[in-house]
Amino acid sequence: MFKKILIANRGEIACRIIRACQRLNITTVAVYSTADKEALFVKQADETYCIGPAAAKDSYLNRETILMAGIIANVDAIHPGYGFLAEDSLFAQMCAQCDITWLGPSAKLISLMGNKSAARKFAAGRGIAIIPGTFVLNDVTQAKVAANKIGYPLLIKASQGGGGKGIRQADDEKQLLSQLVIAKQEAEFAFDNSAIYLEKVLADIRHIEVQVIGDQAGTIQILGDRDCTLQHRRQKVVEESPASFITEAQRRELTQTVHQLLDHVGYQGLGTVEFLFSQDRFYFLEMNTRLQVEHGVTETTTGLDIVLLQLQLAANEGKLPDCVPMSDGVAIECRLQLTGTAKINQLTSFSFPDSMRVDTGYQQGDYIPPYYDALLAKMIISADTRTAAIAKMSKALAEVEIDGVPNNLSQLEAVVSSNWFLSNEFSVTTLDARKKANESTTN
Amino acid sequence: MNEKQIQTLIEQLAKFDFVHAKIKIDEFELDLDRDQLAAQSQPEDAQIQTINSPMIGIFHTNEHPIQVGSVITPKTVVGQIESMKLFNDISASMTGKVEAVLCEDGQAVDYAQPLFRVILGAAE
Repeated sequence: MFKKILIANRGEIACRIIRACQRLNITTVAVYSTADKEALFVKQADETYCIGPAAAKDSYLNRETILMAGIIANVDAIHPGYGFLAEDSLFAQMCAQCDITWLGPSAKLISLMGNKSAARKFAAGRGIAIIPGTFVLNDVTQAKVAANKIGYPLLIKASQGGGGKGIRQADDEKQLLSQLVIAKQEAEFAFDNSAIYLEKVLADIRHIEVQVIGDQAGTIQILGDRDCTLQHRRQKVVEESPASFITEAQRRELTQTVHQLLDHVGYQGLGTVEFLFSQDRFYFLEMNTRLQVEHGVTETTTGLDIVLLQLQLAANEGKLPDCVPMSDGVAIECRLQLTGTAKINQLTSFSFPDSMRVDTGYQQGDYIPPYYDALLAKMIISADTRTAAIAKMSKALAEVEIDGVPNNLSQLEAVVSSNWFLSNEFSVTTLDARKKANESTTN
Repeated sequence: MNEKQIQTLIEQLAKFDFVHAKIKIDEFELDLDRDQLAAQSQPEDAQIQTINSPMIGIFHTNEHPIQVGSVITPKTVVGQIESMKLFNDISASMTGKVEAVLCEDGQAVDYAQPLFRVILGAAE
């Protein structure tokens, strides 16, 4: 087993990884920016190194600086968490060059799946249904011809985007022409790569994803599925495990599709294959080659500690489950987020009922640095049925105490107590449409 | 002199800007030192600052290491930080006299870790 692991991340996910390491008696090394000097993950780690100033590009995104900390601390492995350098194939390569184990798939697979257009081509080549659309566009004429064939409305997506970022919608040719220019500029600015492609806007979309893990031999096992349909501006708000509205036949179809995609490609470590479900069909959306924010719901229903399993498999000491773990009940996760900035942004009150599993990087009294993501806590509840889990979540949310920072707690409460959420009849755009129409999110 | 008279004398003396005073009235002698004032006024604008490491890495001293008492100017190279096999010069970025060396040759240092303590302006 590894003796010492560096966590190239911050906040709740750094705390989460430290917890798994502690269970395996692995010494943990935290790297932090000056803005995180007092952060919980820094207090929890065995060794800490200040690697740079607050700006992520000079600290959490600075490959050399993180590796230097790894070399000084003499670590065996680096866990990238999610975000920052988690899907940076160059960083994965650099770790290998420094003789440090990268806790994730090969640089080659990270690159393949990170290029969303290339990933679509790869999936299509393996006989998997992809969302109708194009691969990387060469010019405007090609875009116009393709758009007419696919039909409007459609999405212009940055090939190096993903995770709901770098997307623009075009409802007709006029919009397509104007949005193409902006989309290319935005992609160049945000992802250092102006490659874009088109995708049809499907009707009544549900977002379904499959959790996978691969051992060192590249054998993969599916650990369950999640429903992450409830989104606000393409960002997940509430997640569930398993996806309770799909049939067992559809679940078997998903399992088979994921194996079709990943068998014999040498996939190692954790990953999530995302699908859109529309009119009774699954379409490959993208694959994230890392630990995912919402992995906790899968852990809650399967009883697995998937980070622990990832570490064991990477050290060649663990064993893949023989079959897809059975789901015990239904787990729901609500993301407690910062919705703006207060003058001081101090969590003057921050407490949760015992009925919840709470993954957070903060404590009461902490100041929230304005430089990073808006996630304050992931609140997870489980029960035998979806209805019971919703009722339990509703009750638990009422007992959450948070003060001092603007947050979305009341919005989460409204969603969880609404009839449309309870009836499980909504799509990825439901929350946005309700907000736009200025309707209350309830009823 | 009684206690009250001494008290009055000290109060009167407080109005004057002195560091050391020796007063003799008949048999009575009083020595007063005001260290606080002395420290404040000693070298003019003696502000203390630190030269911090610009990155995480291994600190290396110069061939002729900067020592306590070394006079530095903004362009003085006070040492190097080795990071990923690259050696990066550390410029003093201030004028003054080194009051303390806070790290050793070959030591691992964090970003923003103080390396030297400098009395500003002491060079002139």
